[in-house]
Amino acid sequence: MNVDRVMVELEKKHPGEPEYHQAVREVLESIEEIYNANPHFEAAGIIDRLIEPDRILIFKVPWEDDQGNVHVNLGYRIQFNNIIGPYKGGLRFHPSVNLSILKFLGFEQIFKNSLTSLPMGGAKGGSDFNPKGKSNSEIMRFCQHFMLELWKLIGPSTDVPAGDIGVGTREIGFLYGIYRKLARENTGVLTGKGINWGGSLIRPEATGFGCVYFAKEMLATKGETFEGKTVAISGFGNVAWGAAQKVVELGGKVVTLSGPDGYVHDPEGVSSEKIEYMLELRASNEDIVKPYSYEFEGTEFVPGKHPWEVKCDIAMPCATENELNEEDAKNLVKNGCICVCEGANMPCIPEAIELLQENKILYAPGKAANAGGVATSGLEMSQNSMKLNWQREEVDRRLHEIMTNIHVACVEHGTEPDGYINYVNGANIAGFMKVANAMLDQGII
Amino acid sequence: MNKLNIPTIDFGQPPFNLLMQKRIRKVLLICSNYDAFMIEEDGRIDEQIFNEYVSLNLRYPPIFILANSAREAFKILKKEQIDLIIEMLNIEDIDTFELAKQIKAKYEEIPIVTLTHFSREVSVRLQKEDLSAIDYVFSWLGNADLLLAIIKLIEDKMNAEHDVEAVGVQTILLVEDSIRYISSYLPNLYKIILKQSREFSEEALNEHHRMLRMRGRPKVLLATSLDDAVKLFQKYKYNMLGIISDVNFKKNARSRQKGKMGLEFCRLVKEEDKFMPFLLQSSDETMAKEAKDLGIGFMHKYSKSLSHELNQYILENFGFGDFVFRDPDTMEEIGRAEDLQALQTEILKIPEKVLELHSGRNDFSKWLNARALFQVAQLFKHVRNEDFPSLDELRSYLYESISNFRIAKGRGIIAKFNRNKFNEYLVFSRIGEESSGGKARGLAFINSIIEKHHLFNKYPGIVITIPRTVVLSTDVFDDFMVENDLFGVALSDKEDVEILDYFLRAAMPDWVIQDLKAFVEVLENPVAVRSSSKLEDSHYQPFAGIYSTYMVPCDKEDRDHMLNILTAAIKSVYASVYYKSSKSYMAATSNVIDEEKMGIILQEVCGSAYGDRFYPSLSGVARSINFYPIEPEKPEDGIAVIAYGLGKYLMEGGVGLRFSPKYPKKVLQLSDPDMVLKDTQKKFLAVNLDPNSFIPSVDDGANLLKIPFKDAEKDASFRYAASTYDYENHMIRDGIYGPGKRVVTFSQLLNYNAIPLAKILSDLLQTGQKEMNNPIEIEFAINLDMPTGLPAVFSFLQIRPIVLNDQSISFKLDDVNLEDTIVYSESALGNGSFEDLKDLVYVKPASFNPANNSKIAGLIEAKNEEFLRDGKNYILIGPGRWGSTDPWLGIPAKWAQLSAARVIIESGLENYRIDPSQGTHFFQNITSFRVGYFTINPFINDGFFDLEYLDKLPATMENEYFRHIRFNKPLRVEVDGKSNKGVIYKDTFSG
Repeated sequence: MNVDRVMVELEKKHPGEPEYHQAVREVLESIEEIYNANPHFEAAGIIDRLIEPDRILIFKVPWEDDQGNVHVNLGYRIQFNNIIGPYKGGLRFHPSVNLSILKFLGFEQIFKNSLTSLPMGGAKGGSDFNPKGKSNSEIMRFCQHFMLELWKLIGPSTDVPAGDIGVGTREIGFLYGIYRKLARENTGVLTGKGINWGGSLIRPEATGFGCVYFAKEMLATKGETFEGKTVAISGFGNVAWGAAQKVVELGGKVVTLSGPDGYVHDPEGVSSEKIEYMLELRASNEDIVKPYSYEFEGTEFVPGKHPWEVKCDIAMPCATENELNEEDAKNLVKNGCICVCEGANMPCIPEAIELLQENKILYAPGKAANAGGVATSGLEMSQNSMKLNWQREEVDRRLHEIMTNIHVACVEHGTEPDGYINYVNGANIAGFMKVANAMLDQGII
Repeated sequence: MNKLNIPTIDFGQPPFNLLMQKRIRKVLLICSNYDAFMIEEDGRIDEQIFNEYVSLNLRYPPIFILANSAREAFKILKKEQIDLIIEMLNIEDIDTFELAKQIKAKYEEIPIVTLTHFSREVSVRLQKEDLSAIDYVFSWLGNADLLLAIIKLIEDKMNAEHDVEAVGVQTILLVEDSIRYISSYLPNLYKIILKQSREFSEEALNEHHRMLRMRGRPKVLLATSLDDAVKLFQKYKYNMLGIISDVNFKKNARSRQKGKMGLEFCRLVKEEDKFMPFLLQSSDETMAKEAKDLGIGFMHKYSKSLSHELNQYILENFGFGDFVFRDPDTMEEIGRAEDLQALQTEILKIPEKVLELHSGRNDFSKWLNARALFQVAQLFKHVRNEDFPSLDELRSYLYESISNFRIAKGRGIIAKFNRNKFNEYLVFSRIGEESSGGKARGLAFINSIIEKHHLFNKYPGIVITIPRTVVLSTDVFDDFMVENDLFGVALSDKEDVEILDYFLRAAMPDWVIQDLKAFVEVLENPVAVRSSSKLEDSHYQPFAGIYSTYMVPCDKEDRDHMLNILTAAIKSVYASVYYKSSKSYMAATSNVIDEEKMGIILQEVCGSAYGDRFYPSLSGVARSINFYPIEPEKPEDGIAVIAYGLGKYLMEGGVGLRFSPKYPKKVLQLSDPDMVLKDTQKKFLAVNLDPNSFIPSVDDGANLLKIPFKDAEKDASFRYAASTYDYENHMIRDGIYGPGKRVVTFSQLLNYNAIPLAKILSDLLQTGQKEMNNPIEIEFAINLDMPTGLPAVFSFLQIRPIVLNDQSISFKLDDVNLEDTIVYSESALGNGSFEDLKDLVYVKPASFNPANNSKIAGLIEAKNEEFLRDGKNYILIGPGRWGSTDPWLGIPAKWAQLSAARVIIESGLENYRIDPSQGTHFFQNITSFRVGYFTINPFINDGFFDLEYLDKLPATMENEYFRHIRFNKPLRVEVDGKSNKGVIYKDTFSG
């Protein structure tokens, strides 16, 4: 495979879809080596088949606003690949939605889902409808009209959409309600449902929990555990909150939290009531972490800085993009940090990742370590199919299992000759290989 | 010596009845209903005019006839005998100047006065306009007393010749050509004259004589050029009390240039009459020396205490105020007389040489003339010292004459009206007699709207009313300031705390205390003590929130204590006029602090008590025009922001719930659970009911409680405001059932119409705007927690016109020629013109790439910091969306990273069309910093962006991603908030 040649072809075929082009290029570049090492992939036209979605549905969604004005939006469902399970991927309601963006997201979803080890294919959908500033009734009417068209295409074993930007529990509720009526069945065809009508427990915590489970497996490769370890966490949102809970449960000590205003150093460790207080912080519209230092004695607020200067054994960036730079990475290395596990999406800048890897520090990218959220969607499907609602413990146990599996896959594909595990390569290749092999197995279809 | 036989002197009636024969009876006022209301209903200006007229014994004080369109004006002119036309702002259908021309063409004899905004644009325009049809132009500063001054000035002009000749009425010559200055100055001058006249007319006379004497008050003659001034001086010099003159003005109307004509005029006057008091005014402080050399008075025009100084000068030099006896050798003061009786006694006591001096200089005559005691004055005028064999005889002559005059006239006493009849049924009453200030006027206006439109019980389950209110008018303030001699401290550069301390130690006038006592007796709830200043609210200048507002808890156990804290609060509000922030605000808005007069509103706070706290179920602000509409809102749909608890929370910039009354169910902040959690109200304000919690302080919120919303769960109002965040399901659920975090959504009101809030606001905004002919802003508070069976209470707290920056500049944005523009948008937020933007930063569209965008945000931030450091603002143009966190949609810059940008443009890309940004925090900042925000999508012919033009200009700074161009002169940027059109022109401001 010559990536550039593939890209030229693709751009010629689908002009005006820059987001899609870029996503394809990134994936191809990350697997170029392994792909070319396996000439049978090329022979089976895996790439050519993979980069085109199975089918695309584009439909109009006319709806009436509260004042009786008629609006027409476009609805989309890109069913990209269902080689390892029913199509699975979110619905996005946002004015920026267009074919290019959805193809980009759908394409990435194939590998994300594949990596979870659960039977889920890749898809994405949505509409250029803007839910911001709409009334409840308008949202409901739009969702109903959207589903009027979409329902024929989806099903519990066919295509199971989830939420995404602009589609939360409220929207899932409206979508599911009309689907149920049209299909005359209650089979939980969407994930992200309310707990009383088919949703799964632990959803808010899942990403944070999963991240800690992944880190636990990483430590295990060095014969280490969380017990007695000092952990620096950034952020104070859902992910940080879930992670802090699980770290404490596993015997570790969380010594930092952070916000846009700076970070809090809590040498005593963030535990029990302090973790509860994070919920308060999160719901304060100030978006700052400083009040934590007022609330609890012995804690110190450091304005304008990242927590990576604090001495720790494990670092879990759970806040935002680009929050861990080269300087931070140097600090971590200097302070004897042994593991960096990403809870957020792309929190470490490339130079930082390089530095961590050079120093042979355990480093896991978000695409592997924060798959807990996607995994819970899979678990919701399972519960719906079984017509069962698992207890928290059961969901948690399954989540743990999934994260362990992801780790195994990363180790399998990412272990370098010297024994160092490159989780970045591991995750990229594992996600791809599973899909590619399944395509080989199932023939040209 | 027969003529000196005192008992034979006949102090008969001077022909007062012949004075002021020509007068203005009907005034056609072309303006909005609100402006008219200030004259007709509020009663303060009306009362002044009425008092003045009653004292002149005229049967009909002027009637104001209102027209709010040109068509209506002509209809009225046809029917009525109009004596004066005043054109105010906001005439709906025609340009003011054009209208004046049309009227003058038909009704040549009627004087026309135009009131304009004061702004640079207006001045520029005035210079260009043909003003031949307009007799006077004044600038409207919201002070209704200007109207009185205008009427007086025109009447004085009409009657001067006759009255001076027939009776010897005195004159004051004012030479001044600045419209802005004269508009604030003239009312002051008249006020001093009228006040003096009233005071000395009260001293010893009965009602009848008082009225007659008021007619003889000095007249003001206005000249705007040297030729005018000389002409008037020559004509009236024997009946002139003094001259007040500007330095810089033209020789005559045809002159091109202004010169130092004031000095020339002064020399000319002094040659003729070296005793003629002459007060020189200038904005140029170096003129003080010139004045000193000429031996005349000087006042700096921008003196902080201008009207105070003016008052002093006039009192001392124009024969107003006390008669001052001086030693002829040293000119030191050796005694004074405050009235005729005192003068009479003093004449017996003063040394001979003093008597000789004053008699020789005709000082007695002048002083008496100024007080309209013409008979004695005329008598004394012709008395020469040498007519008497000895000074003793002169002395006894003067004494006896006065005595005789006084006996002849007798003494009348006017009983002061006792308004101490406050009871709990009175909704709106006033302590004091003068203006009640802008806010109080607004309140009275609201009261009239409620009545006129039958709003009180128009809506089921809720009544609309104003809270029980007592106003302390501005004379209380004046008395307080003068009695305690506070001006010195007030105008000094002392710290706020010190000023407050002085004010607190000063005593309230006793008569006010008596009235307040009655008020305190019937109080049940806390009282808001608000400022109601002359410049506030009605001023067409955003003065709201400059002065302090105190919330005073009600002490039912100890009414004396209540009275103490109430007066302390009043003094604290008075003090806040002179705080540093107010002074600098005054300076920034070219107001003179000394012009400020402070009324006070005492208002029962709307709300209910919950334990030790007291607050309303909600407070809010609403505007009839929304410069930052979000689809599908239109600017004219208006906008409201509401908050739980006291409204001060919103004034302090707290996060309220924003919604358009037309679309109450479409609340941006409630779009998804994350936004609700982040962007809604978390705390609220309440009055601390502990009577001892009120301690006067420069911080007017010191006794307010800031309470987390969740702590109010047990309070009865809570359920109307709260919804619940269901954590497990990540959903907001209406109501407060079940566990979860409580969030402020007001869902019960906005979605389920527990009260028809949106409908009420919609109606009030519409009605208010119609009555004012101007976009308006209102403040309100609602108490939903009422005993069973009683309706909820909507307290209408305030109404004020919204300043449209350059309302008088017509944006003909329809005629925009795209070739003249750099950017043209039909989706622009904001309003007005931006005048000091020389810098433009634009991101090169080609560099737009999700991979680069975060980096560009960082670089823009660095650039922004440069601007912040230099105290400059700039125009920022970039591809895609600003304020988004998603680098795929645009450059993910947060507000702080581009905070110095005053105009921001989002430009769509070839393959990607953008809708305007709606991130709430970002949006909130755009709104509160009044940023011009343009959205364009040139590739689909939605707006225009001349990139080529910019690319050709040399850059001050350029990197891979963006260019910074600095223009020599500010770019012209205009936004029409009504049509949402915005333009950045290629040409720059010439000035």
